[in-house]
Amino acid sequence: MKRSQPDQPDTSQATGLLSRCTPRHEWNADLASQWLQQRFGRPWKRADLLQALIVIQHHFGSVTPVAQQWLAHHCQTDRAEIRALIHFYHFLEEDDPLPLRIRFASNIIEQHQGLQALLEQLQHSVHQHARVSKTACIGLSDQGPAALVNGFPLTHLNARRIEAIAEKLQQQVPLQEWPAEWFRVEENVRVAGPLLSFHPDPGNFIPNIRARDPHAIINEIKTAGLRGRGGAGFPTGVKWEHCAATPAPQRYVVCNADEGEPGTFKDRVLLQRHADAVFCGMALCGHAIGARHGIVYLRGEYLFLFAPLQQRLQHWRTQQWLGDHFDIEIHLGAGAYVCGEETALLESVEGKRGIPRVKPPFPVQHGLFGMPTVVNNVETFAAAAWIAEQGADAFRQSGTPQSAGTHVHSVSGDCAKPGIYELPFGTPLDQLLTLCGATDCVLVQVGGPSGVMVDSSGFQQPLAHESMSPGGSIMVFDHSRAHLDIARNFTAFFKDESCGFCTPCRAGCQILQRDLQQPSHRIDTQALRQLAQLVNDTSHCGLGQTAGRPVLFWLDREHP
Amino acid sequence: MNEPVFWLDDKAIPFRDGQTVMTAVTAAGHYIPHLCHHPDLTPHGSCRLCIVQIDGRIRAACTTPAQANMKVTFDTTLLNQQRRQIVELLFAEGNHLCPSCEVSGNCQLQALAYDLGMTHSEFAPLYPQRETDGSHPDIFVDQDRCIFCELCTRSARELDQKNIFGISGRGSHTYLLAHSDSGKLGDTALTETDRAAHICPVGCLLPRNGNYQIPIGERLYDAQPIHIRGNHRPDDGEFTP
Ligand SMILES: Cc1cc2nc3c(=O)[nH]c(=O)nc-3n(C[C@H](O)[C@H](O)[C@H](O)COP(=O)(O)O)c2cc1C
Ligand code: SF4
Ligand code: SF4
Ligand code: SF4
Repeated sequence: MKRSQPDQPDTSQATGLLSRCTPRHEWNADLASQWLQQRFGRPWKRADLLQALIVIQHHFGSVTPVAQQWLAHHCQTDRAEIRALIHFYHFLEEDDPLPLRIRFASNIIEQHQGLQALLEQLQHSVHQHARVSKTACIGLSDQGPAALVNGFPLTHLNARRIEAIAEKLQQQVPLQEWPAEWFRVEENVRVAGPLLSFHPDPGNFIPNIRARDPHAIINEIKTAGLRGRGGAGFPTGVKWEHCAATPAPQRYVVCNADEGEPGTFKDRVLLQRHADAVFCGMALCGHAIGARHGIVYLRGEYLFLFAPLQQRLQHWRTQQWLGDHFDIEIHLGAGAYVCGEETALLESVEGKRGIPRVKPPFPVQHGLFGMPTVVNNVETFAAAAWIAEQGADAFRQSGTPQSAGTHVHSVSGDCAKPGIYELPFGTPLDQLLTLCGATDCVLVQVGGPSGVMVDSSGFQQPLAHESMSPGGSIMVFDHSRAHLDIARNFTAFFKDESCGFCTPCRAGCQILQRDLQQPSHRIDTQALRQLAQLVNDTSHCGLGQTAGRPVLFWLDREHP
Repeated sequence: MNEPVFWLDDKAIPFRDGQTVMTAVTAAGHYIPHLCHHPDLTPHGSCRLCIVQIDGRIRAACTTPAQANMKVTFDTTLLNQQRRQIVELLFAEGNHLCPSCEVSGNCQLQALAYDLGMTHSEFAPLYPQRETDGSHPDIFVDQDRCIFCELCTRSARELDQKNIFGISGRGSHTYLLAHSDSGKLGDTALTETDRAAHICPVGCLLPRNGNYQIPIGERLYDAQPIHIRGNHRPDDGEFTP
């Protein structure tokens, strides 16, 4: 299949896709209309507002008050509604733009790699040409320090590269003339198993599955024992079955490509290398549950994948692998970790702020626009397609009875070979540590900040749902790293990403973050423990329900 | 036919289909602390004061459907402590200076603080910088006291059929907004007679007329605690001093 190559000659401008080569313009309503027409290919409405804001931001650098007024008029709403969206999504801005917007990834991995010094170096040299700040993990921890410039990733940053970037900025060299190698995003596949060797031919796959009985497909997924790869491990076949069984005029298939959990980048690599497998999985689900609409919710940090994925979908349409029976569109996120939570994601697809809904009802009963909806992770869809082609028995050949198949791990931090490792479920953590060359490993964060922190006493544990749910992220820390710094970084992440809906998470994370900044001997550990537990126990959604974990793991280890 | 019941600690609570733990418990004459719940509005689940324990998990009573024979744990030392801490968090994240506040004595947040035994806040205040909005002739907005319960947004939409209030920002930057191009309340269609103008449980949305009319000592929660009086305002038509 065709791979995304950001350094390929760019043809996307002509097709109205969001590309690195898009020059920035002064606000102009006619141009705005034209680009929005190109983006949607149809009249657009209130529910498209978030996508429209992303297009406007991309072309004009920000959504200034005039632009807001114009959009408000188009959607027959008020400017406050537009600003409510802008003030929710980190990547949307309303101030007069500088030519360039640079955001450094600030996950603990990049922090350990010296992000602060690089950021300050750049800030000092280019303040009048670029607005420079930090953002959460951008899914490039294996090739960091990394940053986004006008939304597009710069990898392998170091002092020399920053100097060169500053020079380009001072000479006002347009982004499309910067060396393509600066933007190269590596795949870094270190161990490929069945999934990372899977390249289905949609020309066979799509007609085959359409000839199959939907119930049989669901049964096969159930027999295979496929469990969701987005963290919670819910049985995928059961989810599809519930959705298919809910009577409704319409159903939706949603692929969760928000991949916001810091240290996770496996979905990025799957979308770079195996987009066809993911689309096949979505089409399979669509046929199984009786849905005609599929949506990929692609995190804003992966804007560089938008054009190649759109072009691929266009190819699928010309081949009639997509069409009236089932079609897929891509919705972009705009910098909000909480939008990975499935119901916040649905709100965001509906063009609203990403506030998690009350569950029940679950999306399979009441999902997108109130219709039954399956939300699955990128890897889950790829694995489902694999099962449809190779069979449930073959799938169960690897993994454990409760966690069938393989899992794709994103490994970063203090190891010789950061990157992607596909291993059977049940592989002991220390085997992965050996593979990635983590020779001086003291702590491992499994499943990102919302997962668990493991020290050497737990390295023998298997990576499986029945022991520690692996999520997709493995961050390795050696003896030079302070556990308190890690806890501080993760807690600040949760504070920044709290949506603000419920009291314990909104207020509690602010206080956790503030009190954790104190010198360690001044921290009231008992009060901190109580508050962290309160946030975990009483918050509304999964974000707050895990936001106290980094503090608790630190306290358990250093202040038992 | 026997009416289905669930258990609130050791009390049997009868319920009808479609009721939540909160509505059934309230109908049975008991009180669960809450701020963002209102019987006339869609449940919200944001303040988290109505936490109860079901099957070992803590959940919000206002958004949890009642189920036959369910065991709901309500009155425990830990849950009461957590309710008090949630109130303390609300105090710490806003700017609440009760002695100089117009609604002191009528305020549901303050009343719950008393009820839950809060003597001080464990959490040092965050001192947020928030705006006031004096553009409306009848209603003054003092965001220092907003607890983001969205009673105003929901009542405007559901009871007054108007789009007046909203919440924006996110996390520590969450704020109340008025739906107009200017963002000012004076430019919205809010009128003094709207339900939304008389629903704020704290002193954030203040009717300009009527403050200080009831002397201190005779206000809503001076005579009776909130777990007996319930969540009310002097101007909601159910109060006689
Ligand atoms: C705060 C938060 C963020 C999440 N982010 C993601 C994400 O980026 N990708 C993902 O697949 N699931 C994420 N999830 C889990 C989803 O809510 C949902 O469970 C998942 O998409 C279901 O797919 P699966 O069954 O295939 O795992 C997140 C959950 C929470 C609470
Ligand atoms: S737990 Fe945090 S992210 Fe989730 S709803 Fe509450 S405030 Fe929002
Ligand atoms: S709103 Fe209530 S809690 Fe806040 S200052 Fe006024 S009386 Fe006190
Ligand atoms: S203004 Fe009052 S009613 Fe509205 S959200 Fe704030 S505290 Fe609640």
